[in-house]
Parts: sequence; structure tokens; C-alpha cells
Amino acid sequence: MKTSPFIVIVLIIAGIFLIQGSPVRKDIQNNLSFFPSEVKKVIDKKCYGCHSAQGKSPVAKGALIWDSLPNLKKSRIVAKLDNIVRVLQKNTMPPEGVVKKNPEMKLLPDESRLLQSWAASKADSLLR
Amino acid sequence: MKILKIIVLAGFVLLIIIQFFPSGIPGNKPEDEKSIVKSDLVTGPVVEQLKKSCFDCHSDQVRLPWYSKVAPASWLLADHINEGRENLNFSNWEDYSKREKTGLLQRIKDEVESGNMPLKSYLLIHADARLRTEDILSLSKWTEEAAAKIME
Repeated sequence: MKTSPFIVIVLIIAGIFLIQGSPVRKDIQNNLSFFPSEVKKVIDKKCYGCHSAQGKSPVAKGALIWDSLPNLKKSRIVAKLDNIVRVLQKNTMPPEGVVKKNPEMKLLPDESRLLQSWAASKADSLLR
Repeated sequence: MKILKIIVLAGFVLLIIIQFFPSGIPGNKPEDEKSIVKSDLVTGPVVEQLKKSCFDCHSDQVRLPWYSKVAPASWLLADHINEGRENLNFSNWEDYSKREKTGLLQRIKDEVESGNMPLKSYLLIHADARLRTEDILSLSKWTEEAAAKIME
């Protein structure tokens, strides 16, 4: 079967539009009621790379995808927020290996405290 | 031959010496009001299952086997119990906040469904603690119902 050059061109153009229509996100989708701007800033900088659809580690994505978090069932959101608090208390995120390779990824004590208090109060507000 | 004898003897002496070091196994305490057993989140069959499969590391009511008094097995046991209680202690259930309870229920579900818990090494000696597929399903269902109840 011979493919018409016209169809090929249309497909190429459609492809270009598709690619442009879904740019690779580098930050959480704006949702100020869930992620206050200062929280979003820290997450975007230190956590989003792995915990997003573009992340390379299936383990990280399995554990948490920031963009999906607000859409989960209420009890699941609370459980995830609790896990965030726990992981930050134990100081195990971002993982040591990641920080070794990218020292700028290290979560500063103030940033960790900010995320912890946000996650805890967000969970409490959902439990009320 | 002589060397072998010396090695065996030295091993034996070492085994005796290590018996004098404390194992670090934490103490038990009687079940009280804080236990999940007293909570309205559980029913009889769930309590039985938790006691059988989880309580030996995740409660203050641990059934200690005879080798809990023999080093180095006792050290390993102490490690498991201390770590288990730190992560989740069903005997202090009411000390956890609602948020923590919800998080723990989700973790119980994940650990049980993935087969990570109970630990393989524990199951080698405690065959009765093994979770059958229907046990996993009912525990998993329970965690969801309990989490929903907490959210009410």
C-alpha cells in the first residue's frame, strides 16, 4: 500500500502539536488550596523530579506522585501525608545517593520543618 | 586434628561467654486500654489474626520462644522486636494520632499485600503466623474499613 505524502505531512504536523501540547512539567500543577506557594517551591526544587510522572524511579513513583495526591481518596491522602511526615522525621528523603550526586537537592532543616508542619496540618484538616 | 579441636573448644567457650551479655529484648506488659484489642476498629477474627501473625514483634505482649534466652539468637530477636515496636506497637494504639493511625493502616495493608510481613525469617519458625491468601484479603479489607471509620 502506498501512503500518500499528504497523510504523512498531516501526521508529522499533528505529532508536533501533540508534543508541544504536553510539555514536560517541572513543577506541581498550581493548586494553591492544597500546596501553598512556599511549600510548592520546596517540593518543586527538592522532590518533584522523582515524585512526578516524569520521574525515572518506579519505586519513587509508586510511593508518591505529587500531582495525583490531591485527587486520591481522603483516607489515602491522610496516609500519604503521614508517610511524608514520617520520612522527613527520619531524614531519609531525598535519598542519600541522590544528594551525593546532586548536593543542591539536600533538604535543609527549615525546608523539612516547613513540609512536615504543612503535611501534618493538611492531614488534620482532612480529619476534622 | 588438634587445630580443629581448639577451634571447636574456642567456639564453645565463646558461646558460653556471650550468654552473659544482655540480649536487649524489651519487657512485656499486660494488655491495657491503649491496645488495639480494646478499640472499636477491630472485631474478634481480626484480633486473633493480629495476635497470631503480628503481635510477636508489634506489641508489648510478645510470646517469647525458648531460644529468646540463648545468644546470639536472642540478640536477633531483640533487634526484631525493638524495630517492630518502634514502627508500630499495637499495644499503644491509642497513643497514635488519627493521622498516624490512618498512615499505619495503609502501611499494614501495603506490607501484608506485598508479602513483606510477617518476615520470612519469622515464618520459618512460626508457621502458624503465615497469612493465607484469604487472611491477606480480610486484613486488607479491615485496614480500609478501619481507615474509613477514622475518617468519619
